[in-house]
Amino acid sequence: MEQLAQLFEGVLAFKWQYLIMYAIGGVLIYLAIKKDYEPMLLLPIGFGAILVNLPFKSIWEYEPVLDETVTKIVNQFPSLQSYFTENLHYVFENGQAYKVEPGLMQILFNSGILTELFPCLIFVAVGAMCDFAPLLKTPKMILFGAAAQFGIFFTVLVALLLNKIFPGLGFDLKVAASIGIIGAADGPTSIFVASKFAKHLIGPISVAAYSYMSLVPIIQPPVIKALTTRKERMIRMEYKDVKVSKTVLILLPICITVIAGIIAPSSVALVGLLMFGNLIRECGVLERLSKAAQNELSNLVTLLLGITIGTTMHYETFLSPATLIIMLMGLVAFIFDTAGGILLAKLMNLFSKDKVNPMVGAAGISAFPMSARIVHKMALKEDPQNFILMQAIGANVAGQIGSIVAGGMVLALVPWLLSL
Amino acid sequence: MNDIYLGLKLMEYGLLGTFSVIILFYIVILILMKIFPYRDEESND
Repeated sequence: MEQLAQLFEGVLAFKWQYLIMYAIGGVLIYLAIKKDYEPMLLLPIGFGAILVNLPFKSIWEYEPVLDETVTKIVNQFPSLQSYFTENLHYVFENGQAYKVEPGLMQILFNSGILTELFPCLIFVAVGAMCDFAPLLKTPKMILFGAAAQFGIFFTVLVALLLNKIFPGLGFDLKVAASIGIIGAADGPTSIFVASKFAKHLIGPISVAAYSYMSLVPIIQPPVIKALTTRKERMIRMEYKDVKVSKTVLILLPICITVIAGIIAPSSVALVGLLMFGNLIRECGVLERLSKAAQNELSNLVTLLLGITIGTTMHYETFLSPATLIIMLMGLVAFIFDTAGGILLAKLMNLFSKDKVNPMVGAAGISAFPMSARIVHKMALKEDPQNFILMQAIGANVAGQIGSIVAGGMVLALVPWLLSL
Repeated sequence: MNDIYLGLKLMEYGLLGTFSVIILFYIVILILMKIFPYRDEESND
């Protein structure tokens, strides 16, 4: 009978919570395939969620093996227990030490996410894909890249307020900052910050970040309409097709890296690698590397990043009220990002002769190029002769810079505030 | 220290810091565009 039970141990270890996780994984895969919502990320994340919620979680860790030597050592020196637990993959039960070897996905998680390697490599790829020329032609648009990060900081505050009302949520400043950073509308930045401040919430935070990025066409238009009048949406903006010299395109990533590195050193990994990718693109002598960064590097890291993130979604950590609240907070972050950009544009219009179409402010989020396209479409809908695509793209590119700067600020400020 | 107070401080310094850095980038862009304007011969390179 015991042997029969061993044969069907997978069936016996099955839990009903797995079914919920399969449904969640299935929904993500459905959205990726049928709705084309960020398929490169949502599909691997969805499948990873299914993979890790199989009995015994063997893709994440192997079965515990009793280690008698360590048991004896820890019984003699109990203070060593925490060292074995934290650093050497041991668990302790009834005074016995068990070694739990990390499985394939945990190895990828430890070496790719906890070390921030994957998000940083993605930044090289994003930098290589980024064309700063539209921003250089309309430099004023860069300000929207800062204003549209308002949602990050507002959401941190909302998360902390919720924690005050429901203390069981466990949203301290670090966790709240990791939730707020969903508003960066930038998956790698969200993962980067969460891996520093709230490793246990990387799964829900990444899913929220990528889901809402793909839902930008649904989230932004109602917010834009609610905050602008038709007259404002019809504002035409003059566009001068200023030509940008190659020297500027080459010097810009270098200057930005140096400035960001001096002012916010913790943002160097983010800004520096994004700008490195961009320098490869603009230098004109590394076309092969630029193409490799845009294609091979981007594809490979995205694939590993997605499935690794997916395998952090074990039901024990994912099925909690905190996950639901994180998903809602992500929406709040995107709404207030959009509002931040629009309100800055309206403020600028109070003082400037050259009016800015406030919708362009909404494109200051990092979701590139969706946000710019939406704004352009909305402008055309109000006035078929109103072309604000280039300005919106400028703001959208600025959003990519703004989101990593804001991420760097959060990384620098949170430990500093906690040390006060 | 109260978490809400810390959150407010994060918002204050975070937004201030982000805007400061972005404004610096804006100034750098203006300076670079001024010092290195596009010249026609670049199109022949």
